Amino acid sequence: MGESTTGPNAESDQALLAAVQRRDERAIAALYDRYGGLAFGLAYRILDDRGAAEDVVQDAFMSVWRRAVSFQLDRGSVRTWLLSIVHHRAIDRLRGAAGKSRRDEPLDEIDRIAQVDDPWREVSIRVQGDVLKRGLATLPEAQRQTIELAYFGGYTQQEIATAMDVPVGTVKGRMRIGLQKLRELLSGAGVELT
Amino acid sequence: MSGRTVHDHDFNLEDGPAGPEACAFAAQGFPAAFVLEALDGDDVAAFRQHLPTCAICQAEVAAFGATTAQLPLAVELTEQPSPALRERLLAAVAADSAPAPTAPEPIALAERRWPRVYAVAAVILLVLSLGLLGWNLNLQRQMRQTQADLNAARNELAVYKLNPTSGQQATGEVLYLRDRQQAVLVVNNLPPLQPGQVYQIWLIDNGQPTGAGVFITPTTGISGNLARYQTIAVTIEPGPTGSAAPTMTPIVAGALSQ
Repeated sequence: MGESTTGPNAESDQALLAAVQRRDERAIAALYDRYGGLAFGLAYRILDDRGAAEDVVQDAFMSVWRRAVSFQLDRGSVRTWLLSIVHHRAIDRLRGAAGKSRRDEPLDEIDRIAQVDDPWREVSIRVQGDVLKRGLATLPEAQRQTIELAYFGGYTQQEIATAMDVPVGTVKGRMRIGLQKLRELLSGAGVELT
Repeated sequence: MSGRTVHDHDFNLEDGPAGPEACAFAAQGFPAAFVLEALDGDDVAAFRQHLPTCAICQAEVAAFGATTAQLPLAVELTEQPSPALRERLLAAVAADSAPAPTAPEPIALAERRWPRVYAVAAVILLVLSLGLLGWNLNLQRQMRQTQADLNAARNELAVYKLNPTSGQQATGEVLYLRDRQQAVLVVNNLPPLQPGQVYQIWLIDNGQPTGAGVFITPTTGISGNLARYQTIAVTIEPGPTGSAAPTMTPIVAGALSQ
């Protein structure tokens, strides 16, 4: 408590994306500053490889840069769109690189980006993240593991069935019931599902 | 399992999954596995062929897709990208000399990288435009009205919990009367104020905080439409009127229903 910050970032996500649609390079930089850490965190969680995760993040932001005109500003969340791209590309990369060593080289000591651009946006994200973590923690273990193996692990239903020694139908059922419970928990906690 | 066109049963696109037993794909959990990208190759192809024809599966994909879209927020951000990534990205953007497309790229459902929520939304629009779901829209409206009536009393009062931020102890609740757009904020274990300071309430929309009053006691009132905001937070600011913009990170914060 007590640390001074700069004022809030005045540009909404929608305004930034509208600027990206106008080919404003500063806007894509601002979007990266806002969500680059989150995008990298997701890609790194899936790939467990810094270099591969950075490639995916760069690829995803380039996709936003090139496809921004196809995004309807009055529908959906820019953050959700970006992170969906990151997830798809990370899973593609994971499955395309099956069998590779996930840690080809030691991690470098890298200066952390300590400056938070907009603590208020960070607070909103963190609050939602806390709700989500609590929601996941309340799921039965088998449902939570199934969802995490699929979403973060990139495993297919058949691979999960084999790993957990259950029929594929059971895996699908756990995914469905788990997501349904999670949706109810998030809605009940006031998280906007867009 | 393909070949169905329109299902003659009740469903509600906005309220999420309903009646999955009426569709073999939905009953077997295809939509959930699809949004998690866990379907195997043959199943992906079969489900993509089926999806445009089935309102139940479209509703489940939309509902589960929105839920799945929140999962990245569960990631612990223990690692940060290297500063060089930003430089590489901006260099690539600068080098991208292609002129801006003048029209949206065509939506290809077979393109797995296209965000599925929007692809499904586009499919829904297409189906609607063909009039295949016209009668269902009427049904949905009736169902929503009925549901709205049933929920009216329950919806009058909303309770939102406030949790402490890092290093803080404060917790609280917001009791919000929706129909009157009046709320009571109760916060416990607030850190003590220094002379001349006040607690200030902030309502946050899309990351942008708006001041919503100051207080010095653990309980205070808030007037306004809280449904416009996603988050409520409290800071300590210079008194007596607080600040135009927050000058510190929040003490306590919580999510607000939409």
